[in-house]
Amino acid sequence: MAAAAVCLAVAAIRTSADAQGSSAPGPSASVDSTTDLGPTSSVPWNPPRAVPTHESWEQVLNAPLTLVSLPIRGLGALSEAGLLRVQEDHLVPRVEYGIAVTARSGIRAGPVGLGDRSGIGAAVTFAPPQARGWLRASLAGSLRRYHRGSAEVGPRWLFAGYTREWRPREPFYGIGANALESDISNYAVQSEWEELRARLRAGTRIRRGAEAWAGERRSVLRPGRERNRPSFETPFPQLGTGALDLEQTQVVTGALVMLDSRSGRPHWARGWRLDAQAERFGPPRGDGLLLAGDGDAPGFHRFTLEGQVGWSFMRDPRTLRLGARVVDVDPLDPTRPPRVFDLPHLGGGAGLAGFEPGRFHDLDLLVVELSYLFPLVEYGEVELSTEVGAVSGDVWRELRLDQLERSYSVTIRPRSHSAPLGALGVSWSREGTRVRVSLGGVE
Amino acid sequence: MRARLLCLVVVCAPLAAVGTRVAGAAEPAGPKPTEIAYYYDFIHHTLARPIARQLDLGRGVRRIAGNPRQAANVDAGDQVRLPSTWWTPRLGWRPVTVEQMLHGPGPGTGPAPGKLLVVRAKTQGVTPGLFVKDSTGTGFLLKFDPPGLAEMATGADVVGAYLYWAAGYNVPDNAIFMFTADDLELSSEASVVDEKGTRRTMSRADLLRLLEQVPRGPDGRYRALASQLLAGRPLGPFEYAGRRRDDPEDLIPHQHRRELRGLWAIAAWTNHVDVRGPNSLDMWMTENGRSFVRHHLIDFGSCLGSGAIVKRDYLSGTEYILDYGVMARQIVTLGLRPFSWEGAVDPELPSIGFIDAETFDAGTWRPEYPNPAFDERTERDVRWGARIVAAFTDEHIRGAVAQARYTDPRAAEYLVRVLIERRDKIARRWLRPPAPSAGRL
Repeated sequence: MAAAAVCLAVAAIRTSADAQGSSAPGPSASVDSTTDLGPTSSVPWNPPRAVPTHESWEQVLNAPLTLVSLPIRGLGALSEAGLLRVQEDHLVPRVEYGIAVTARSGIRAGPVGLGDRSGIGAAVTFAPPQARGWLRASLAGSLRRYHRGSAEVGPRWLFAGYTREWRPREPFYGIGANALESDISNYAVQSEWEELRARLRAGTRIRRGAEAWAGERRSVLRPGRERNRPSFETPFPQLGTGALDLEQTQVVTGALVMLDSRSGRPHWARGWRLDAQAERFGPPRGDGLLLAGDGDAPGFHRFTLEGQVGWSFMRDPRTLRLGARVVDVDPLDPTRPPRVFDLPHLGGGAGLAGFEPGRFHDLDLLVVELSYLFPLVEYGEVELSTEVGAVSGDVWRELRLDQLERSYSVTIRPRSHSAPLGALGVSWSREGTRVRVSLGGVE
Repeated sequence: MRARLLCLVVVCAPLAAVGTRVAGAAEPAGPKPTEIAYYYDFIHHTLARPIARQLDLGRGVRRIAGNPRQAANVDAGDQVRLPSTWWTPRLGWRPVTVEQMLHGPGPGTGPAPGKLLVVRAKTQGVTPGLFVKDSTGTGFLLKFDPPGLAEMATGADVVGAYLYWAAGYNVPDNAIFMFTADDLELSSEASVVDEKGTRRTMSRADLLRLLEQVPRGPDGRYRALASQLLAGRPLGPFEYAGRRRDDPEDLIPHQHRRELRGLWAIAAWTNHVDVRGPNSLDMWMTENGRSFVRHHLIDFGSCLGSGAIVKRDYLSGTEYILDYGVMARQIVTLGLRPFSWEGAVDPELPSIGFIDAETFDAGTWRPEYPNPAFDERTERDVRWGARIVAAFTDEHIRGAVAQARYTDPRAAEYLVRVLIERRDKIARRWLRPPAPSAGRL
């Protein structure tokens, strides 16, 4: 029926055209099929005077808004002029060329995240092509004066590395799940470590990996640099005693195994991942191999188990994900607990995003996350997620379900066709609401 | 998106600049040339203007009253007042044979036989271009297909030009042109804007490097779109809103012109999601002793299934890059309502890219980002455009598609079928008896 209607309509139009507009209304000047079908050079029809964009009554109605928006219009005009200059001066290709040239020489620069509340950061990496991947170095810094530098020598499957890092404003609320929100303080930590690391990777559908490393770490705990928050040794003097401003060294050994079958674009949408990691931070023998210190730091074992599984449906994947992470720290000497920066913690990007970064510290932690991702537009998607988790002195014996904290998040993630590009989100918990912004490195 | 904008810079800016040289010296000065900031155009129409439209109280009142502002250049019979330097009544208003269509924009033969003199090149961006003069001194812009998608952009550009000409618009004379590197000679003044953005003398090595990126035909020759440079002096693109205030013949805000509002139907039919100011060109003409501005649509390399440098996404034509309506719907339904494009079947024809009829919605088609004239369209405007679309016979469509010279016969067959089915969808949706009140869409 519908098809017949279309045929009739189409036929009617063609007939009317063939009849040269004799029956159907046509353009207002007489149309003669014998005339040239080419464009006219005649004076075009125009009204006696220019037609206003808005009629008078519309202009009156919009007058207040027009006045208010004048500064914005001015800003728009400036932006237009600026962007026109960018275009005319070929600034985009020039910048692209500059990036390409520096990339050819092994230098790359870009934004980087150095952790929660570390400020906007940037990093420069250097991997000269002449070194054929055997030399890699990077330098990163942020507006809140966090910085990190590292260098690696050797092929990616066996290399020696050195890293130096300064974190001046790490938040700390005390130890345990019952730490008070009002006890906010901060500490600074300076650390450097060298290591020898072996890394194996295999598999395509299920990727298998293993790593093992051994090295030394020298670290020093310092008073926090945050101006409007007390340094941690003020509310927690017992944690600062004998540890503050002392350069302490440790021998670090560890191993990691992982299985990963995740796949999908723009976000991973199906499959699973399992990581198991064990580390030992032990006392050095003598002054250490390369790094000397004022003494040895408290030793401990740290075990981390992390898993994720995802399931998706529909063509632009709507994805359900479940993830869990357990961290278990066992001091080598029960009378010497690890220093605050070695304690597992929750809050912010570490888990329980609705709580402030570093909100909970203890020897162990458990956090479970359930999330749902769905497309918003071509270049954007939404993630709804909830996390439950807690820190504990012993995650296997002491943790109770009624101690678990809850956090909820809604995140908009700009994306390309192949990966998420950043995140803008809101997270909330019983303690408040946090806005999160990140560029790159979402997954 | 960024790559597409760069591509526009590559194509349009030099087109205007080269044309400047051929302008006559004795003609009146005419309006001042203008330029559109491509990045600003995107930001303005995607972010700023949608907000301004929502805050427009006059528009709100009109919506509530069901009294949209109709096109300003129509007569009592709701037809375009003529003459017009924007549009000429052709299909839908008077008979146009396939032969007439194929000779409408120009002879459609491309450069004359003989050597081509390269006068200028652009190498930045993904699609390079060459400005050449043939043995008769006629100027052409040669544009190429992106690597891996031979025939796609050039084919779309040719087919698009014929269809838009037959629809009544002013377009350049586009033709498929095959050549070898030996057919090209460098002018002593040939210049190139290199990857650093610096203009310098062009060398033979530059030319060969540029051609390395160009897909070749089965016989080893390079395939190009030869677009004859428009006559007159280029004044830059026109905007789909406002007026060119220094043109005394431009007295109607462009968003209130029937030809531009009704263009929506033709753009929807041909999936020309790239229809925006930067893909237009005003020329200062002197004909029959009169100097005036003629308005052209150019660059059809991003219509049909082609995205100029990539093939079109499945969702092309279904939503803006930043579509607030789609976003709201997705949030409310938690993304559980499927997008219409999720049922799309890719024909897997590299020379076509992606366009289909099955998922095409003739009522809600959208360009890549909002176009001010389309935003103002009313049902009367769309019916006007739909009348033109419906007037294309299967033979017109076959005739235009044949000019793309696709080597894979399945490609031409598929494109013809899709255009016929999309045309019928538009006719079915818009050519029913008019509603009592032809309101704003």
